[in-house]
Amino acid sequence: MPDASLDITRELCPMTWVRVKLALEALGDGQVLEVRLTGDEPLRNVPRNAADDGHELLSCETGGDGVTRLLVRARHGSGPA
Amino acid sequence: MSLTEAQIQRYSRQILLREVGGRGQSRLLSRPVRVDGRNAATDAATPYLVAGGAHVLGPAPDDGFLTGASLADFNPDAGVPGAPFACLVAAGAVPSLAVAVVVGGDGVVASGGGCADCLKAAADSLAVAVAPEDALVLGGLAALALQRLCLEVEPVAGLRRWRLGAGGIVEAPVGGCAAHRPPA
Repeated sequence: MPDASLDITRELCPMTWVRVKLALEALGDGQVLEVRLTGDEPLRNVPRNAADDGHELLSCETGGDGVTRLLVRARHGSGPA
Repeated sequence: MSLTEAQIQRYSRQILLREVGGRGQSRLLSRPVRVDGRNAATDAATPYLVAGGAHVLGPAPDDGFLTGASLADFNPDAGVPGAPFACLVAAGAVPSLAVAVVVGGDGVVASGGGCADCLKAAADSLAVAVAPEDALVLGGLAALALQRLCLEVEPVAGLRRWRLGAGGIVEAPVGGCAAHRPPA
């Protein structure tokens, strides 16, 4: 069960990652964010950026409606971001 | 302070940066900046600080972007009442705040806090006059250094100095005041 959910199916780059980044910052270390997204760009960039920022990608599943459900565990190292 | 939707949209490209993010952008918005003195480099730095979200108080440069404006009119929603200022100082003016960046004709000194006399000694080592051709690079460096202090990605205490030479910008040693000068 995720701790928070975020729908970015209507967002465009770069706001897709901006929304996810802000949502992950708002979570405590170890909490899980569910992200619902569509399209190639966020599917390519959101998991990669999350991993680059040190977060943990738990699962990535695309449903029959074309909406991908991403589960990311927030990991907060040092620094402001 | 939490970001408003308008601030998220406006600063989205800064929020993307790993060293900024939402928390860092909030810090940039909540830390007002005062400009003490004026030279071509502080004029170059000021638009960067304004564009970064800081509430800036000081002389507005005649640069076509801020010309004729009062800096206080920019980012009126930034700044937290009572928040301590960070300070951008033109070499020759006496730095009065511990969190300060001083820019002169041959370099930049950044202080995240600590000994005020060390900061003054380092600032006194900077050339006062700024060559027009150096103003943009020195101003950009000064703005970046001040933003990094506000973001706390630089050490909170201590001094750093960068020198502009023929080969570009290099970090240079800082002497410190008489009480803190390292032994020869």
